[in-house]
Amino acid sequence: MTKSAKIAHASKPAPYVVSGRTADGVSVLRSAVKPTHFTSKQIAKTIETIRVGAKTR
Amino acid sequence: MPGHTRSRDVFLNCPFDLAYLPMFRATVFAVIRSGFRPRCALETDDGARNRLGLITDIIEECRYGIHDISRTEADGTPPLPRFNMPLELGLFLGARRYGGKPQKEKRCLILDRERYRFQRFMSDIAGQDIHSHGGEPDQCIVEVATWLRDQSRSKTVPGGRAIAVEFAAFQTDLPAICRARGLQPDELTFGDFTAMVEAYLIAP
Repeated sequence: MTKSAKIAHASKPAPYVVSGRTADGVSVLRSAVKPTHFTSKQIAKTIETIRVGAKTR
Repeated sequence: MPGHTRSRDVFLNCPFDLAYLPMFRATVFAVIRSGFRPRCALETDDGARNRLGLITDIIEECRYGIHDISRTEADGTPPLPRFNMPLELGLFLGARRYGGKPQKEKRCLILDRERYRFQRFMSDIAGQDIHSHGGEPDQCIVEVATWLRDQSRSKTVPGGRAIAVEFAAFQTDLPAICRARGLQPDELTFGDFTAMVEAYLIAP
């Protein structure tokens, strides 16, 4: 790889991270910014718990 | 402007006050549900960083832009209009006009309360297709989702009305989700809200 090719390559943006897919198959991309008050794992767990609770009620 | 644009990043140019919050959250939900990634000036809370510098960086990175100029109206004492949204729309259009090849791929959706209101304060953009949301979050979702689906040509993304129904269900669940994390819905940061929408959409 030439030096100029390296520079051109470096300016390309990083690939997207797919957080998951919706029920109908649409890719949900990870946000450009992290949450402030919880982690992604914590909020996923919270939503799952609330949904399970709603289903069993 | 040599930078590449990110093919799924959508710059949101709109007010960030409490009165506009329902519209803002509806737009963010529609963008994520359509398979794109919302970007806006709320990404960092860094007082040391020049706000215009941050906005121009985000504009440069985004292939798409959603510009809501509905709040360009006289307010305060003496009554003066807020020109932040038209300014950022101008920056976005300027990047497309004067930028390199990746910047020329930029596309934008311009929203207002009424379709032809802009002619009274920004007549130079005549010829652009202005969409009306009527100040209604559901109509805003329909406009955003329809436009993004047209951009992505996706065959899996549902229609705007179906997304509006999903958003209503999310709004119903939001207080309980926030309560479980010891938060009030109006305390959520942009990062909190996007993470919440992501987790909600992919939850089993």
